[in-house]
Amino acid sequence: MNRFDIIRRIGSRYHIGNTETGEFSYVKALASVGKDIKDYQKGDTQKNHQFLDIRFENDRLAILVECKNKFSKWKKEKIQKQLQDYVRYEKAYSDKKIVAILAETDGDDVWVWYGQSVIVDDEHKKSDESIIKTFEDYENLCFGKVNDKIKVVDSIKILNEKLHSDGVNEKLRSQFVGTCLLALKNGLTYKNVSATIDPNTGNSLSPEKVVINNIKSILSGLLSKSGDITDLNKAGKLSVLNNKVLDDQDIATLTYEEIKDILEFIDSNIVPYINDKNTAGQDLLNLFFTTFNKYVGKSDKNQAFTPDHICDFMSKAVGVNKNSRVLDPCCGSGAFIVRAMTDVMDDCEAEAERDNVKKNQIFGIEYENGAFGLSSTNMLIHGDGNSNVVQASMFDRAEWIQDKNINIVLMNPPYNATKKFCDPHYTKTWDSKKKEDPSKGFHFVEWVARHVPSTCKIAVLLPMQAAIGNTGDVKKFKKKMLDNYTLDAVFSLPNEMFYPGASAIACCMIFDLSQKHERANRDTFFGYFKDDKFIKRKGLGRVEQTDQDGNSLWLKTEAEWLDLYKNKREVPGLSVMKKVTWKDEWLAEAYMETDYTKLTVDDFERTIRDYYSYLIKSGGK
Amino acid sequence: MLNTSKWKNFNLEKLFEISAGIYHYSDEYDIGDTPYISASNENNGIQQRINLEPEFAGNCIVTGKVGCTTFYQSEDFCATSDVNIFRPKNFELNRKIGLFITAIINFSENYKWNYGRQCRVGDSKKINIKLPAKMLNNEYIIDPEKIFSSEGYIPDFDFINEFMGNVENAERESKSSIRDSLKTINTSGDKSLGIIMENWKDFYLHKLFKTRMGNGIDAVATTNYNPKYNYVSRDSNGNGVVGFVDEIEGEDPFPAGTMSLALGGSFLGSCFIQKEPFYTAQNVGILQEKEPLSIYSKLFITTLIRNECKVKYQAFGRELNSHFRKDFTIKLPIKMDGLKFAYDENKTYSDDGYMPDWEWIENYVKKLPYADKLLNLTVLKR
Repeated sequence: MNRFDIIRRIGSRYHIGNTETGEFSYVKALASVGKDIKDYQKGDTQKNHQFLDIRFENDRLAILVECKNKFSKWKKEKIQKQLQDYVRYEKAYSDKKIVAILAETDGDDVWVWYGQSVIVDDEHKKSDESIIKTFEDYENLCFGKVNDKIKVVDSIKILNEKLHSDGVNEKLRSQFVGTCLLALKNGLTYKNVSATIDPNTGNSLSPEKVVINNIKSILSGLLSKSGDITDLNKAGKLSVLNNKVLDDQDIATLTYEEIKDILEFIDSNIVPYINDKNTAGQDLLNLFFTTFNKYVGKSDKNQAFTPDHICDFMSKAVGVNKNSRVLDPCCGSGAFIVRAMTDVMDDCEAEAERDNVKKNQIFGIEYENGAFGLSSTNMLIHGDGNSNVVQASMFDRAEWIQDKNINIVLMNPPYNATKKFCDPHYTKTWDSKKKEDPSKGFHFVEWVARHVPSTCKIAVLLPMQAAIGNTGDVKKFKKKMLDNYTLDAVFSLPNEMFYPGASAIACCMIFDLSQKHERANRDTFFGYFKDDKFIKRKGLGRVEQTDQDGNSLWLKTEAEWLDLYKNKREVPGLSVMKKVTWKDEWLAEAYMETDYTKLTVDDFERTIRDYYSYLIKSGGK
Repeated sequence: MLNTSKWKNFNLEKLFEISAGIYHYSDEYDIGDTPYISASNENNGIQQRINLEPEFAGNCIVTGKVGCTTFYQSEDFCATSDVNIFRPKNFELNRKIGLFITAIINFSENYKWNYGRQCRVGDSKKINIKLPAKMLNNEYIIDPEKIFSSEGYIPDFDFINEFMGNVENAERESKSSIRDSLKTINTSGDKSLGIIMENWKDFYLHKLFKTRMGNGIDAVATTNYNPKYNYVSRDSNGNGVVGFVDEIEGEDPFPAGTMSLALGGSFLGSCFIQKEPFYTAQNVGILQEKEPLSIYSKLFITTLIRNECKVKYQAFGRELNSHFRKDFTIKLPIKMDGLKFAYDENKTYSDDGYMPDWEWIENYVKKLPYADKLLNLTVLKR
C-alpha cells in the first residue's frame, strides 16, 4: 500500500504533517511544548530518528505510521526500535493514546501495536491486525464504545438477579463473581464436568464440588506465581478469597446446574468485554466492580465507592506516570490503585518496566474484610500477581508506608468513621459522647501527609463540610494542613457522584507537601466541576452520555477540566484562582464570579410565570 | 436584549434585614390556610398550608437554605428555620421589585449552594448581586450616606418597575400578556354550583373512553438530539410531561387531545389532557374519546378520576393497571328526558343505556374560575 493510500484509508482529515514532505518532526513538536528531543533519545540505535513518516491525531488518539518498502529487506529489531523511539517521543509530546504501525509500501504486510504501554516487539504485536483500518476503527479498539459499558452494566444487573434467585447473599455476590471472573480468565473448565473421586481422600466429588475445587486451585496457583509474597500474606489472602466466599453455605449449596449457568453467563456476557491488554478493558472491569458494589452498598449507606471516571480524573490531575509510587491507604475495592496502575502502565515501554510497576510501585491498605477481598481480586484480575494490598488499619502501618517512598497518594477516606476505624491517638481526644469522626475524614489525610515524603502529592476526596470548615475539628485540621503543606487545588464535584451509594457531596483536594501554604504564597485553583455529563438511570446508577455519534461526552469534559487545572485558567462558571487561608472556605462556589452577560429577559419572565402559576394554583390569594 | 454591563454590585445585607424562620413540629399544626414555607423549590416555597397564625408579614423575599432557592411572598406566612426572610431596609418593596430581585438571586446563587453547602442567614448577608444603578446624564448618582451600597450607588427601582411591567404586559405569541393570565371573569363566589348527586350514575371508564396501555418506553431508551415528541411519565407536575425526546422507530405517538393516566407510583391517578403528541413511559394508561369531547368535559373527568383514586386505589399496592380497563368506574350526571333518564339504544357509554349529561358538565366547568381562559386553549388535533 503506498503512502497516499494509507493516508486515505486511515482518514486524511486526521493527518498531521509539519515539514515540507509531510513528515512529522518530533524535534519541532517537542520544542513546541518546551521539551528537548535529546532528553528522550536513548542513543542505542545508530541513528537518532526524528521524522515520522505519517502521523494522525484527534483529541485523544495519535496514530504513528512508519513506512518501509519491504519488511524482509530490513532488520526487524531495527525498524521496531525506530518505531519504539517515535512512541516514546509521542508520549513525551502528548498524553494521547497511541497506535503504532509499521506498513509496507511495496507489499501489503502491516504490523500494529496499541494498548497499554505500547511495547513495540514481536511479543506485543497485535497478531490479528493484518490490514490498515480507519481512524475510527482504531479509536474503537483503543477506547471501546460507551455502549459496551452500558451493556456490561446491564449484564451485571441480570447477573445480580440470577444470584438473588439462587439465594446467594448480597454481601457475597461481588466477591464471588470477581472470583469466578478471575478463574475464568485463567482457564477454568466448567462445562461437562462429571463427578469424580477425590484423589486425596478417596471420597466421591459431585460436579459442583469439582468446579469449586478447580476455582480454588487456580486462585492458589495465581498467588504462588509471585515470588516474594510472604506465606502469611498469601494464606490471609486465600482465606479471604477462597474460604470466606467459596466455602460459604450459600455457595456450597449451589447445584452444578446453577454454578454452570452463572459461569456461562459471566463467560459470555462479561469476560469478552474485559481485556486487560488494552485500556478499554481496564475501564470496563472497574465499571463492573463499581456497578456490582452498588447492590452491596445498600446495606452500608456510608460506603462511598469512588466512580471510575473520577478516579481517572484525579489520577490524571496529579499526573501519575511510570515514575510514580502510588498509595491508597483506604483503598476499598481498589478503584484508585487499579486506575493508577493503568496510568503507570500506559507510560511504560518495556516488559521489565511493567513488572517493576506491579511489584514495587502500587500500594493499597484496606481495613475491612470484604473490601480487602475485592481489592485483591481486582488487582489480580489486572495481572498484578504480587498484589501489594495489605489488610490492616493504616494507622498500624506507619513504617510500612514510610518504607515505600510514596510520591502520590490517592484516597477517599471514610467521612463518618466510627472510633475503631480512626487514629487511636486522635480518638483519645474525643469526648465520651462522640461516636463519629468529627474531622469528617480529614484526620486520615493529615496522618498520611505526616508519613510520606515531602515530595509527595495527595489527591483526596472529602465531603464539602471539610472544605467549608465551620465546626471545631475540621477547622483544626484545615489549619494543621496549611501550617505544613500547600493547598494546590480544590474541585467541587457532582452532587450525586456516589449515587446510589452514599448521599454525601464530595470535593477533591490536592495538596503539595513540599512546603507550608503561607510560604508557597500562591493562589489555589478552584474548579466548579459539577457537570460530568453523566445521568442517573434507575437500577443502573449514573451512566455516561454520548453524542449522536456515540462519542463519550465525559472524555471531552475531562480533557477540559484537566486543561483548566494544569494551565490554571480562570473561566467564569468553571474555575477561579484565589489565595486562601485555613480560615476561608475552600470551594469555587465561594469565589466564582457569576457571568451576568448570561442573564436574559427570559430569566425574569420565568420568575413571573412561576409566581403567577402559584397565584392561580392557590386561588389568587 | 438585556445589557447588564453598567449594573453595580449590591450587598444583600445593605438592602435587607435578614432573619431566619421558626420551625414548628408537625404535631403543632393541622391543615389550614397559612402558607408554611420550607426550603422547597416548588410552589413558591410553600411546603403546605397549616392552621397556625402567620408569624411573618407578606411582601418580602424568602430563600431556602439548601439551594438558596428564592421566592417573592405576598401572603403572610409561617416559615421553617431552613428559610431566610429578607425584608427591605430603606426602600418600598412591591411585586415587581420583589420578583426582579428574586430572579437575580436565583440566577446568580442557586448553583453555588446545595445540601452539602447550605446558605444560612450569615451566608445570605455576604451575598452580592448586581442591580441597575441610578444614573443622571450618564453619571452614577452617588448617595453620600451610602445607604444601599458601600460605594454609594443607588438601585434604580424606577427602571426595575418599568422593566418588569414591560415583561408582564408584553403581548406574546400566545396572544395575551402574562399579566392577562391572572384575570378571570368567573368568580369563585358560589362554590356549590348546584351539584345534585342523586341523578349521578356509575360509568365504566372503558365505556367512556377507548382505554389502552401507553407505549411503555423506558427512559433509558429515549434520546434527545432532535426532539420531536413529549415524553409523559407518572408525574403530577408539568402535565405529566417529563421530557422532550427524539422520534423512536416503530413507536406511534399519541395525538394531542389524548388523555394520559398514571397507573401506579406515588402520583397514581394523575390524569392529564396532553396538548402535544406524545410517547409514554411504563405504567401510563391512555384514554381516547369515542366521539369528540370538549376540553371542559375532559377536565371534569380527570378531576373525578383523581378523586376516585384517593380511596379505592393504592400506590405500590392496589394499582390501576389491572383495573382501568376493567372495573374502574366514576359517577357522572346523566342526561334526563323530563323526569326519566334519556335512554341510549346504542348503549355507547353504559350497558344500562345511560348517557353522561355532557351539556351540564360543560356548563359547570365553564363557570369555574379561569375556565374562561380555556377558550384560547382549544386543543389542536394533528
